[in-house]
Amino acid sequence: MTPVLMPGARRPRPAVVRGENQSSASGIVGPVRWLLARRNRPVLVGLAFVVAGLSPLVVGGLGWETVSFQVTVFAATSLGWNLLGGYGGQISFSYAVYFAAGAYGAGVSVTSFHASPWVGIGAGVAIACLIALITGLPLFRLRTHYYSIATLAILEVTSLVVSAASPLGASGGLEIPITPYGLGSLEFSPLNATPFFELGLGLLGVTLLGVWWILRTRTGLYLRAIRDDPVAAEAFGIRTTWWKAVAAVVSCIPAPVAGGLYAMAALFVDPNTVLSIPFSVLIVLVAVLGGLGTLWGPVVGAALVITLQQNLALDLPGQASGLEPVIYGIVIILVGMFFSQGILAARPIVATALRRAGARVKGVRPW
Amino acid sequence: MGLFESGVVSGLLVGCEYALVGVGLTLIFGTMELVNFAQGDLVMVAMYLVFFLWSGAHFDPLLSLPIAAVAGIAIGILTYEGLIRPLTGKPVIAQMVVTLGASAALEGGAQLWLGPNTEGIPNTVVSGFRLTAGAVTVTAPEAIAAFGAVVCIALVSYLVHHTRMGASLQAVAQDPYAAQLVGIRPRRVFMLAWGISGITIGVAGALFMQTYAVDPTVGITFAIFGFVVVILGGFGSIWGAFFASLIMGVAESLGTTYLSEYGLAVAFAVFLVILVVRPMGLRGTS
Repeated sequence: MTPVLMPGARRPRPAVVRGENQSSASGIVGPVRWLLARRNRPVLVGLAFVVAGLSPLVVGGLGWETVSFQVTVFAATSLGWNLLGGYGGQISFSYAVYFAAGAYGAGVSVTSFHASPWVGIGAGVAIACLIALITGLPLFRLRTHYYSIATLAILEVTSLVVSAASPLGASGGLEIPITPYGLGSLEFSPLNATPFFELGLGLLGVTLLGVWWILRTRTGLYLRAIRDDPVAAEAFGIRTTWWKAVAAVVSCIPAPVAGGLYAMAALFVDPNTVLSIPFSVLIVLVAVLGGLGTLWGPVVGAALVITLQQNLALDLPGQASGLEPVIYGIVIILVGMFFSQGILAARPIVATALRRAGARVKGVRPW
Repeated sequence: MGLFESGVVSGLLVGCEYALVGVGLTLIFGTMELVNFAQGDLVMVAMYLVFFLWSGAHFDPLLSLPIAAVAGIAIGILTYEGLIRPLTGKPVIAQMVVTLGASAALEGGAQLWLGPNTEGIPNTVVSGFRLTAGAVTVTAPEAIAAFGAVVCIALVSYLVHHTRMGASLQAVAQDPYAAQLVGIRPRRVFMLAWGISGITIGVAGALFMQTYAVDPTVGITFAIFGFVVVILGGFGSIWGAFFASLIMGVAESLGTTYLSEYGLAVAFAVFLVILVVRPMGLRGTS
């Protein structure tokens, strides 16, 4: 008699049939299977971070490190965005403003106050949270599209004001002077991007942990309820505007830190880059293309989009300017068309392919 | 005092012109809940078309207006058939992503093909004439562009509000499922919405060349202004978008008059304040 499975109940794992071909590969299969088991996921992730952190020892090169650093920066920012946008359903275009708050905070603390950029990053975080709270409370009453366009207007206002503000270098941008090298001053040899990559990786790890933790708390549950049916959520007594504002404040925190690192790595920040619409769209795109409302979506999206964009910029120099956005645009169109749920949604397809390819190693579940 | 009056008048004229982009966006927004990020870039394409008709065949922008309008219809329907229809039933955000990609590709394509130069039409048939009343001076191209935009918007409004075609459009906007039940084919209606939106794109291309110059990056400016106007006007409301555009135009113009570089920031701030007071837009009802 076969047991009746309740919907959503876990299917009992079929007992592994021990065949002759099993024993030959069992030396490697055991640890691999243990690592791939769902309950051991944190170990796998931790291992992946250690490998990534050590990777500059093996795959060196300034270009590679710079691109990887950018990936971590965008992944962290977009992870924050995804908390409000993916899980909360509020598509915001103002994360570039939070990013810029950190970038300018770091820049101004060095140029005007001769202080450590970390102070500026801290101030940037405070300012970003304040902006998120002040703009969030009135704007979260708006319907989704209205909210998105309103955040676009906030971005434009900020961009126009910063472009006219001379202490911030106006539209020409703020050049950050070189100070003695060190972790406190966030300055390292320009020939070596490894420290920034490691810092970015650290930020990414902390952000991932934070988002993972929030999703397990009541806030995460409320957010998803609000996204799926705001009226029903309200009817159940969830104060939707308040929780959206809470999510907005929490989710903006990685952006200014990422912005500060970004500015210190480039030693330059200007409104035409960090406060431009393409930049804020990129933060959104990274999460959407990777997988909206999934923990790993922004990381996968950043790895793909930023690597593509940066390599296009590196490989197609000068004379072909224009070809790069064309390719970039077409790739976005294609991903949007064929992976409309994000790249991570293609996981079952990949898993099936892997399973077929690895059919000889029986009993290993790739995912 | 003259400063204030001329600020208001030029704001109104600019508002009329920009309203075309807003009306084109609001049609698509109202029928399929899609924010078309490529709208401004499509206007840029239409502007280049008009420019090349002038530089290649010496067509005055007024003469190429009907050509641009027809081309606009084609542009609109092609965009829908090529990019949006394959995503029918997919999440709206996927459609939005596709229009974002199209926007980047169009802008890059224009850069690649035409270079980053700014191209304008210095001497149109009407340039050189001007109208002066008291302290206010209006040039003929400005007046004609604004007048043409108002006529075009009135025509679009007539199509949507007073014809059978428009009734089907409104039906789908209100309830796509019920509209399908009474025999309206959504695909046709969406094509219609994109076609009419395309007319506004084409006409905007011809009229904008009267007063502005074109370069590959102009699209984003028009698009942002258009989004704001659509939201301020209220979901899918044509005249709401028009009046919102007038408000934004005047706010920007007065802001520029008194605060120089903060002009556009003033306009967006006005938008945010109005939105806080009226969360559903000027003509929207909850």
